[in-house]
Amino acid sequence: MRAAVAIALTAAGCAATGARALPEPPDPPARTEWHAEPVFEKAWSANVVVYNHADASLALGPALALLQTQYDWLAEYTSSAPGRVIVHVGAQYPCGFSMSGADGGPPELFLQAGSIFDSQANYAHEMTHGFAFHWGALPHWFAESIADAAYADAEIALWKRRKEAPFLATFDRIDHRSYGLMRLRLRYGAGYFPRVFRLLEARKAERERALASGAPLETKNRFLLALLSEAAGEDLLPLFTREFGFDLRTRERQRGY
Amino acid sequence: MKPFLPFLLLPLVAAPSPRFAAEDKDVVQDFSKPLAAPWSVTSKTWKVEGGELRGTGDGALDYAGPLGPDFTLTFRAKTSEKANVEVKLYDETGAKELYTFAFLGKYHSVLDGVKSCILKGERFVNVDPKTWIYPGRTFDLEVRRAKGQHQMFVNGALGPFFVDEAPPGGTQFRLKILVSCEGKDDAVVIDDVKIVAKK
Repeated sequence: MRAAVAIALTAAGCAATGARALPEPPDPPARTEWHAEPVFEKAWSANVVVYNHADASLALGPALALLQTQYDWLAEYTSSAPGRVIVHVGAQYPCGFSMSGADGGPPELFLQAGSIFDSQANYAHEMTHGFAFHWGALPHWFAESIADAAYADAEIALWKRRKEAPFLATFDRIDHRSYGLMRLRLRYGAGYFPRVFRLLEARKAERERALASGAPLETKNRFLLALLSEAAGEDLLPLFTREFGFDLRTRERQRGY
Repeated sequence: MKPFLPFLLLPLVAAPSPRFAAEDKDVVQDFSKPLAAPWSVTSKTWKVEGGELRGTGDGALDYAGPLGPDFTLTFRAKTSEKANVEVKLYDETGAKELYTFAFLGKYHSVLDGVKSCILKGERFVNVDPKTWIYPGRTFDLEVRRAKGQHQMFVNGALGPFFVDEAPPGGTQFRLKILVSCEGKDDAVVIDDVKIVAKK
């Protein structure tokens, strides 16, 4: 991963300096109030485009390099990548958030300027959403919990800020929003979610049917539980229904939401 | 406004429970026989009939324990009219109310709705608007407690949950299942009470 950082740094483009080792990516349509904010600077690397909407004093280079590192790790973790992600940096966002690309364009992340140089602040979580949009209309519980799992695994394996056992223990409480899927991470180890994502990629036709935006919630939940079970090597339906109180017909949101 | 459930019954049992260790085995009350210690009811209208506990109006089923700190309680409940079913956990003397797990079937003015909730002492610590109970249907209700973590389930679906960062001391508890009805003639049925101790 260190090599990837160096490549990203040297290959970065920047409208402000005119150094354009890579061709400038097109801008996304200004479809929200956040897009319409002034742009102080635009910078890009192989797979990440960053727009500074916050303050002219921000130097985008370090954040761009970190975001490219996150992208490279996540591409391997999820067995898929959208080719490019757009990152908006703003001073007015109430929280980090993301949205799928407009007209088939790259997914867009919106990260708060105050923590833009801190790679543990929404990088992995929001970028996972960006990577996951192409899987379909995921139920909230799954979309948010895989983003939490990716954050946890990135902290442990990529950024190495946390030790696995004590860090994962912080998720192992019934009032954690991702308690269910993080129980699976504890039970089946570091390779569990990469296996889930490989299955999601491999089952493209089935996935597109089951996770279509108009598909019934129960169809989505059954498909996702089947994938989670296959990755686990055992049927997880009893665990979800009896232990987690998971109702296939009605569970759309995460715990507590 | 002080958050309280106005329908809650005061603890009626003040006599100390037998002082022996909480047993590490399951407790089943299927009402196939007349109630005997440590089980009792607080209302004269509540009686064991036809393999069920049947009654009219407000009342409570008391389990004087001993009950260990980690357990799963399941039971079935049905009411003929709108009513609230609550599980209350007390200290081993029965004098101090520790938690209330309320499966509401009546409108609650503080919560502004019919919801399930958990109280620690007299304070709400979690409310879930998606789970509630209603007349004419038998509900499978469940309360789990393990390592200071509490969960409620309605027909297997997760309701409120709460992690107590400062759980009360003590290793023995007792509990009650209370029902508060709208009218004194409203029918109540409770059955298949099971307490599985955490092994």
